[in-house]
Amino acid sequence: METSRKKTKNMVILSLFVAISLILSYLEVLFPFSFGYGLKLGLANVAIISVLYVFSFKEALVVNLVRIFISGLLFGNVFSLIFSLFGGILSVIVMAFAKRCKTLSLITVSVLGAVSHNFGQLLAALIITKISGILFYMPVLLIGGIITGIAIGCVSGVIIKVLKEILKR
Amino acid sequence: MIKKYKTDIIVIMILLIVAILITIIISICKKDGRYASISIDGQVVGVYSLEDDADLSFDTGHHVIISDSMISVTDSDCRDKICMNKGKISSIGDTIVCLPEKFIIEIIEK
Repeated sequence: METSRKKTKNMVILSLFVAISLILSYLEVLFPFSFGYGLKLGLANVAIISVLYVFSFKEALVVNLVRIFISGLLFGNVFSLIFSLFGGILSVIVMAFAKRCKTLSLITVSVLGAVSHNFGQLLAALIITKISGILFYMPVLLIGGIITGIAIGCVSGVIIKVLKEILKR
Repeated sequence: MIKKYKTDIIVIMILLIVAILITIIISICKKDGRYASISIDGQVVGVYSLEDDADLSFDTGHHVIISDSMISVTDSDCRDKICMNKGKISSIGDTIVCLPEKFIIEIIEK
């Protein structure tokens, strides 16, 4: 049974992860990563994937949700909030499932997370605009997801190793 | 070492193939459209023929140009400029979307 001290410690650590993911999503504005179509590097997902691997699905989902709400309410509008929600929730769920398949490496989990994040946003766009032509964007989102997924996965791999040592998990 | 990554390579290959397949299917089914429907916030504000060159400005701050049977956004006040990066479109079903204002250009057959 977790002592209340452990609970507090975990809460503080997870709050730090939320803060870090917010800073990361701000930082990526500095990288002009643009193939158009609104593709982003998804740097904040380094923090989310790290929480997924160092903790578990529950913590990753909560950290992501808190981050999305804070980021959406402070820096975005209703639309960006809805898109991030669809993308973020789907992404964490897919990654959690992918992680359970022990044969899939971190990079693949990250790629699947990136692709499903994009698909979640596509779904949101479809629901909001009700224009089926939005589906034209699918190939770009797939390829963009693969590329960013590999990049974020590589970075996360390094970070997770260090974190596991530091946090002794 | 390749053996360790076998499943990963398979998954990524599948995703790539799906992307390529979709691109091929879209290119085959692509048809040049004749009209562009422009809507703001869900309301259609105009349907324009792609055959007539035009220079249009909208309250949302978007500047649209029709030329060579293609339509594109040449200026806008939005932050991301995704609508401008999209370039020129002319295929039926293709869209240029600018989300903050819900400014949407869609190519239709009418």
